Amino acid sequence: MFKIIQILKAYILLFCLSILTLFINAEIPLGPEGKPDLNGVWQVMNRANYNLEAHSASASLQLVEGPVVPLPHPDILSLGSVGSVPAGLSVVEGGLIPYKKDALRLRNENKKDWLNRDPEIKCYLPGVPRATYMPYAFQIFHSSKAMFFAYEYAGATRNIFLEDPGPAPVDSWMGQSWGFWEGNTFIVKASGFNGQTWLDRSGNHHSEKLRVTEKYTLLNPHLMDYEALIEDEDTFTRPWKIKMKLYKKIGDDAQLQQFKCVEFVEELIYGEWRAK
Amino acid sequence: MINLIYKISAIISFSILSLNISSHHAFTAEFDANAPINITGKVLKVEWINPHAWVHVEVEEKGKKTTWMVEGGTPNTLIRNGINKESIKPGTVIVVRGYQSKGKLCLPRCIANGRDVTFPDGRKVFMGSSGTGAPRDGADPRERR
Amino acid sequence: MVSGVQNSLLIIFFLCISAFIYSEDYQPAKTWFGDPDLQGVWTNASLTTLERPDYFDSLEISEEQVIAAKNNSERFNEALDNPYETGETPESGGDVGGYNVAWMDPGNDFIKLNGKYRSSIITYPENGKLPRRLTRWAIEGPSIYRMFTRADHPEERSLGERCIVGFGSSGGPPMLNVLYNNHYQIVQSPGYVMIMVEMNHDARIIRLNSDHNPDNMKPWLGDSVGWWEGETLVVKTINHHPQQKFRAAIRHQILMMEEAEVTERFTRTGTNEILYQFEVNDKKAYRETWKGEMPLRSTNSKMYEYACHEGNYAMANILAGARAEEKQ
Repeated sequence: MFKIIQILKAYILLFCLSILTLFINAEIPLGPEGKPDLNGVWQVMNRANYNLEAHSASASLQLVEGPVVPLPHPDILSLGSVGSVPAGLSVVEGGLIPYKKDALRLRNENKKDWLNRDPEIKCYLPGVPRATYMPYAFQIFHSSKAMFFAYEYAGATRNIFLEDPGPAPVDSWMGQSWGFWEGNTFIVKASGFNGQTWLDRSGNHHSEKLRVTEKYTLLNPHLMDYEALIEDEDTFTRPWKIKMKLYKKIGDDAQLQQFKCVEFVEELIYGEWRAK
Repeated sequence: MINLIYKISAIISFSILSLNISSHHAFTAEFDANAPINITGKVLKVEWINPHAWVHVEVEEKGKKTTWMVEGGTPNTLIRNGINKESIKPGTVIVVRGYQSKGKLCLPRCIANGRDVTFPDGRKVFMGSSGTGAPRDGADPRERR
Repeated sequence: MVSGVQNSLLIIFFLCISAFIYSEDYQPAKTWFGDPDLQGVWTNASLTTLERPDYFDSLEISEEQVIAAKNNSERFNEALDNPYETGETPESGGDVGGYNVAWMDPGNDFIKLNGKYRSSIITYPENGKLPRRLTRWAIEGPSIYRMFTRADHPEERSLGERCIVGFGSSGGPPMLNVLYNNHYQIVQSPGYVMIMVEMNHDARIIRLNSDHNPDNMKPWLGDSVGWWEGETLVVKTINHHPQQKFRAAIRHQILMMEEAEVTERFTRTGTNEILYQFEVNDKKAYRETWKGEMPLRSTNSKMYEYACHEGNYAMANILAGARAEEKQ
C-alpha cells in the first residue's frame, strides 16, 4: 500500500512539473488563453519585396538598353545606388514561382514596365502576403477578442476575424481574413482580393482568385516563423509556399512609425491636372 | 458688441457651409450644374470601391452606345445592410438622373453623379434594409451583442 | 527524512495546482493583462451635432423636442432622396447634390446620456458653441474659399477628398461623427490601446505610460500617449499635423492648431457603451478650452475596408474638370 502511494506521488510530481514547465519556460511568452503571445512590432530582414525569387544585385528595377549593358530607366537614373537593387535569395519553396505560361509572360511584361505598373509606386495598399515583407514594420495586437495587424506602409490594416465570416461581400485590396489556432501556430485564411496588388517589385502578380493561408509560429520571444501558401488557379500551375522569419523590434525605437505616403504621390498621380 | 460680432461670424460661417450641405463636399467641384442628365441603360459592372462606388452603364441611343460611369457613395453602408458584389447584375436596366462631370470628353467614358438612381418603375436601386437607408447608430438593441 | 520528502512533494503539488488555477483566472470586465476592457466595434453615429443648433436653447432636451427634430430629419432625408418627380429631368443650374440617402448612415437618434437627450456634443461652453476667436477667419476663410471655389492643386482640397484622413475630425482627436462610416474598433494589448478609425483605415496606436515623440514629428491624427486613471483611459494628443488645422465636415467645422492639446477620456459604462469625453486646449484658435462628450455604442456591424486613395477617381475628375472649365 505504502509503495502504491509512493508511486502515485511520483506520477503526480512528474505531471505537475510538466505543467509547471509551461509557465516557467521563458522561451515562448504566453498571451491570452495561454496561447503564444504574438503582440509586438515585427519586421523581416530579407529582400523578398524586391523579388520573391533569387536575384543578383542590379542597376535598377526597370532597365533600358545601354551601349554595353542595360542601364537604369531615365526616371530612376539620378537616384544612383539608392535606386539600385540588392541581391537576395529566394523565399519561394522550390525556388521559382510556378506560373502558367500566359501569367509568366505578364510577369515579365510587368517587370519591364515596373514604373507604370507597380502599385507600391502609387502608394496603393500592398495586399497579402506582400504587406508582411515590405521594408517597413508592422504591429500585431493580439487579444482574446481580436487579432489585428497594423502595417506602417500606407497605414494598411487587417482585422483577422476569429470566426469564419463566410465569403467576402466585395473584393478588396487587403482581402478578408479569418484565423484560428492549431496548437501553437496561428493560421490565417485570406481571400476576397481584388487582384490589383503585386507580390513584390519584380512584377510577380496574381488574380482575384488568390487565396492565402498564412502560418505564424513563435519560435522564441523575438523570432517568428512565417509561412504563406498561395493558391490561384488562374495564375499558377499549383499552390506554392513562401517561408521567412519575422524579427521582433525591441528598445525605445520599437515603435510603429507613420508612412501614409498618399500625400507623397499626389504630384505623381495628379500633377498633370494642376493649374498652370 | 463683441458677442454680436461672434454671433454674426458664426452665422456667416454656418451659411457658407450650409450652402453645400446638400451639395456634399466634392460634387459641386466635380459636376456641372448646367449639364443635367436623364439616362436609361444597362449595368455593365459595379465597382464597389471607396471613396465612391461607380456604376458603369451602357446607354444606347439611335444605334450608338455610350458608356457612363455613375458616381455613388461609400459602399460600406450598403454592405452592412446586406448588399454584395452580386447584388446588381450586369444587364440590369436602371435610370440615372444627375449631372455630367465638368470634363465632358467622355474619353473613355462619360462621367456623372447618380443624384437619383432608380429602376424604370421608380423604385430606388440602392436601398437600406428598410425604406431609404437604415442608419445604424447602436440605438436599436437588436443590433447589439 | 522520507516523510520530509513526501511533505515537500505535496507542497509542490499544491503549488502546481494553485499556479494552474491562477493562470486560468480571467475577469470578464478586464483584458487578459488586467486593464479595463474597452474592446469591440463601436459607433458614434447620432443626430446630435458638435455645436448646438440655434433652435435648441439647452444641453438637455425633451423627448418632444427630439421627436420633432427626428421628424424634420426624416422629412429632410425624404426630400433629399427624392429630388425629382417621376420622369422629370434635373433642371439646368440646379443643385448638383450627392446621391441617394441609402449610401449615408448619419444615425437615427439623438445622443442620450444619463437618461437625457443632448442637443450638442459640446458641454462647455455652456451655450454649446465653439469659443472661436475672430482670428479664425485668417485660417478658415482661405481654406473654405479654396475648398469650395478652386481646384488648382490637390493639396488645396479637403483631407477627406485627398484620401489622407477621414472627413472632418472623424479620426480625431477628438473623434467626431460624420455622414457615414462612423465606426471605431478598439483592440488592447499590453502597453497599447489601438483604435482603428474606419475612415481612412487609420490605426491610432496609443502608447501607454510613454513619452511623446519629439516636437518636430507631427503625424496625421497627432501624437497620442495614454494612461489609466482607475477605470478610465486618458489619452493626451499633441503635435498635430500642420495640414490638419481646418477640419470641415457637414456636421462640424473645427480648427486644431499644431500646438493644441486634446485630452480624451474613455470609460466603459456598460456592456454596450463607452462614455467618450474630450477637451480641447488650443489658445491660438479658441478663447478658452472647450469640452464635449458622447457615448460610443457597441454594434454588431462589421468594419469594411475603406481603401480611399486607390479608388479616388473623384480627385482626378475635380482637377481635370476645373482645367476643362478654364479652357471654355
